[in-house]
Amino acid sequence: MNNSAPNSFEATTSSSHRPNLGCAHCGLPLPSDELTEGFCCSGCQAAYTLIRAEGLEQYYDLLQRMAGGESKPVDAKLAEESFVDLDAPGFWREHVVPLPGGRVQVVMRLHGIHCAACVWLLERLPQMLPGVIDARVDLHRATIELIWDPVRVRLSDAARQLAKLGYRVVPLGSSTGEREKRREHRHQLIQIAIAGACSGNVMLLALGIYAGEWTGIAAEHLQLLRIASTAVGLVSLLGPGGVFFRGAFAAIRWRTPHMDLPIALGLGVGAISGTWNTLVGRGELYFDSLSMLVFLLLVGRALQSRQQQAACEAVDLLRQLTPSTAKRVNQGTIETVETVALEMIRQGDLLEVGPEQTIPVDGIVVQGESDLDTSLLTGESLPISVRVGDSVAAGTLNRSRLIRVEAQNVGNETRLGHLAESIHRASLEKAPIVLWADRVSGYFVAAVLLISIVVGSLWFWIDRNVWPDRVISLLIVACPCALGLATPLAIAVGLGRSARSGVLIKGGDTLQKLAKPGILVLDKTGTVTEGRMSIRSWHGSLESLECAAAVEKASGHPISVAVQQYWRQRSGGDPCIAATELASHLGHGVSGRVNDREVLVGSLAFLESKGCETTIDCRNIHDECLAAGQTPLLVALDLEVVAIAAIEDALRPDAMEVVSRLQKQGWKVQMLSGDHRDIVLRVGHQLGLTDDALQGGASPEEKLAAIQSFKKSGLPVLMVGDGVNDAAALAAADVGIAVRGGAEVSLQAADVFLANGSLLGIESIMETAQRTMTVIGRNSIASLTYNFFAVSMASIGWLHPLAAALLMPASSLTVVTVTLLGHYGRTKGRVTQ
Amino acid sequence: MSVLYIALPVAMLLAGSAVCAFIWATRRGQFDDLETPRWRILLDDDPKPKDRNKKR
Repeated sequence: MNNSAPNSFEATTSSSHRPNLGCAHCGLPLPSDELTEGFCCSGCQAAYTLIRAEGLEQYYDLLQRMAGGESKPVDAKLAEESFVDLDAPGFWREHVVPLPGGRVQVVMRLHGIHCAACVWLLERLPQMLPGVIDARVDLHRATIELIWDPVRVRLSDAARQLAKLGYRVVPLGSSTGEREKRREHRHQLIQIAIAGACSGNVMLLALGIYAGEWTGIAAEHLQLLRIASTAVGLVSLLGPGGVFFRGAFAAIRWRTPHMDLPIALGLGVGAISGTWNTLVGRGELYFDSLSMLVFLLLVGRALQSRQQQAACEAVDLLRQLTPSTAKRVNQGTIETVETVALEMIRQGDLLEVGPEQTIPVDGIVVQGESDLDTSLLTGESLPISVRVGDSVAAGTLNRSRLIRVEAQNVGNETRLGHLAESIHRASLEKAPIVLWADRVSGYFVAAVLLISIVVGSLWFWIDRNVWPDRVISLLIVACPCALGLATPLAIAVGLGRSARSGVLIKGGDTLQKLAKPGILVLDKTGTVTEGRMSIRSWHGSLESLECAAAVEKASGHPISVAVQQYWRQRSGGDPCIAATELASHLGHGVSGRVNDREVLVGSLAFLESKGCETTIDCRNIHDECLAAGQTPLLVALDLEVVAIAAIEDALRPDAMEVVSRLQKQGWKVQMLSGDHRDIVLRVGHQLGLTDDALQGGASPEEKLAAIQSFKKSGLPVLMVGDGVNDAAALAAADVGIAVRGGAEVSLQAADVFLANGSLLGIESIMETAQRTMTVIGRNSIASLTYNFFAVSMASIGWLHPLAAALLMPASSLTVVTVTLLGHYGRTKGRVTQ
Repeated sequence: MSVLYIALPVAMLLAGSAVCAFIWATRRGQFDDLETPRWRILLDDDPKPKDRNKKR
C-alpha cells in the first residue's frame, strides 16, 4: 500500500522477467521516443500506478499465466501433484453427479482463492481446457463447481490445470454432508420468509382492528379481520413456529431446560386463547405479537447458526489438505512405481516417499536414509535421521531424501489413526454446556406457572368471570421473547466480530467458557515459537554466509532453510555463486565446493572430523550458543572456520506480551510440550514462567493426561496447540485453540482456530467472550425487567391488551438495539483509547 | 366497506404468491451464494452455457 508512487526502477525490475520488454502494463512494444520510461503511454503508466497502489500486483502474474507465457511456478510442490485420486472410482461414487448428455458434475473445495480476480481466472477454465464445459466459483464458501465431458478430459487434468494457476482443489468433506448443509440453509431462509410475510400481514390486519376499535367498525367487518388475522397467525405459528414446540417437547423428554420451553408455553397459550376468542367473537387475539415474535426469533437463530457454520467450513477447508495418495512400488519382473489411493495400500506393500512428502503409513525403512520432521506427531523441533531398519510413523514429514518404506500399519491402525480415535473419544466425553439463558428458562417456566396459579386462584376468589382472561394474558406477556432473542443474537455478533479478526469459533458455548480466567496450557513448538529454525546471530563475514547458503541450497533440512532465509534477508536474493560437489552428511552437515574452495557447514564435531582447526575464540562462541540454548552451526572454508551461526526456534514476537498480560488477568499459564525438557525450560523462562508450570518431553498421551488432571481442579482449561500431538489434548480441554500453520487434525479437534497464527488472537477472543457475556447479561436483565413489569401489571389486571401487544415487540427491539450498540459502542471506545 | 370481502382475499393471495415465488427461488439456489454473482457481473465475456438450470 505504501509504494503508491512507483518509480521507473520498480517498473523495469517488475517487467524484467517478462519475455518481451514491452510496456509494463499492456505489454505492447515501447515507442522509440520513450517519454514515459517502461510504458507505451502515460495512460498505461497511470493504470500501473493505480494497480500497484491498491496492492494488486498479482494481476500482472495472472495476466502472464493466462497468456501461457513462461511463468514462475506458483508452488512447485503443487504443480507436481498428479491428482490421480480424483479419477479413482471411490471418489466418483461419492462426489460426482452424472448429468444428462453424458456429462458429469462435481463440487470441490478450492484452496488459494481470494478475490474477484480469482473468480474471473477460474471461470475461464473451459477456455483453457477443452472438455470442461462449465466452471462456477462460489467465492464465499470457496468452492468450484465443474461440469465436464469425461470422454474428452479427466478431472485430474482439470485439477492440474487449476494447480498451474495456483489453486488447489480438494474433495469436500462429504458430499452428502454438504448437500445437507445447503438444504438446511435453504430451509431456514424459507421459514424466515414465511414467518416474515405472516407477521407483516397480521400487523396490517391488526392495524385495521385497532383503528376500528378507535373509530368504530361494523361487527361483521371486525369479525372478518379477526378471522383473517387468526388464519395467518396460525400459519406462522404452526409452520415456522413449529420448531419451538418441537424444541419444547424435546426439552421435556430429555429433561434439559431449554429456551424453547417458555417460548412454546407463551406461543401455545396465545394461539389457543386467540383462536378461542375468534370463535366466540370477543376478547383479544395476540396473533400480531406472536407472529412477529416467531419471525424475530428465527432471524436471531439463523444468524447464529450462519456464523458458526462459516467458522466450521473455514476449518474444514484447511483440514482437507492431508494427502490421500501414496506411491506404491510394484515389484515384479519390471519394477514400477504407481500412485494409488491410500485405502489401496495393504500391510507389506513397499512405498516410496520422496523429499518433502508426508509418510502415509507406519512402517520400516527398507532403502535409503533421510531426516524426518516428526514435529507434528511428537512436537520435537529438530529432525530425526532414519536409516534402513528404523521405523517411521504416518504423518511425519520426510525432509531430505527419497526413502522406501515397508508398510506395517495402515489407516486406523497407525499411531496417527489411534490418536485420531482418542481425539474422537475425548470430544465425545466433553459434556455439552448449557447456556445461561437455557438454565434460567427452567426456573422461569416454574416461576411463571406458579405465579399464574396464584394469580388465577386469587382472581377466582375475587371475580369468577375474569380469572381465565387474567391468567391467559399473564402467560402471554410472560413469554421471554427478548431473552430468547438476546442470547443467539449476542453470540452471532460476537462470532462474526472475531471471524473478521481472524479467529474462527466453532460453537457459541465456547464464548461462555472463555469469559472467566482459568488455566491456560500452551504448547511450545509452533504456538509460542515460530515452529521453524532461524538464525539468531551470525558471527562471520557476508562472503562466508553466501558460501554457506550456496552449499545448503539443495537441502530441505530446516537448518538449510534457515541459512537460505537469512541470506535472503541480508542480501535480498538467491546466492549468485553456485556450489559443486554437494554432499550431505546426514545429521551432521553438508559439504561442497564454491569458487574452487572447499566449504564445510555443520556441527563442531562434523568439522573436526573433517580435520578443521578451531581457535579458542571459535570455541567460546560455540559454547556461548549452547549455553543460550541455541544450536551452533559452523562454516569452514578450506578447513578454516570462518563463521558461526546461532540457530534457534525463535519465540513468536507477541508471545511474551500476551503471556504476561494474561497472567495479570488471572490466567494460570502452563506450558506443555513434546520437545526436549531443556528447550522447554529455556523458552518458558524467557516467557517468565516458573519451573513448575513447565513440562517437557510429553507424549500425546501424557498431554491428554495432563489436561485431564488440570480439569480436576474445576477451573476451565484452555489448551493452545498446533500439532497432531496436541490434538487429543485439544479435544479434551474445555476449549481447544488451534494455531495456524499446525496440523490439520488439531484443527478438527479444536473449538477455536486462530487463522492469523498470532497469539494476540487468544487475547482478542477472551475480550470478545467477556463482551458477549456482558451483552447477554445486560439483555437478560432488560428482558426480565420487561417481563416482571408486564407480569405484575397483568396480575393486577391493569395491562390493557393494546399495551401488552406493544410491549412484547418493544422489548424484542430493545434487545436487538442493545446488542448491536453494546458491541459497537465498546469498540469505538477502544479505538480512541 | 363490503369491498373488504374481495380486497382481503386478494391481498392474501398476493402475499401468498410472493412467498411462493421466494420459496421457488430459494429452492433453485438463487440465495445460496450472495457474494460471487455481484463480482461475476463485472467480468466480461462470461461463458454462458445454455443448460445451467436443468440440473438443480
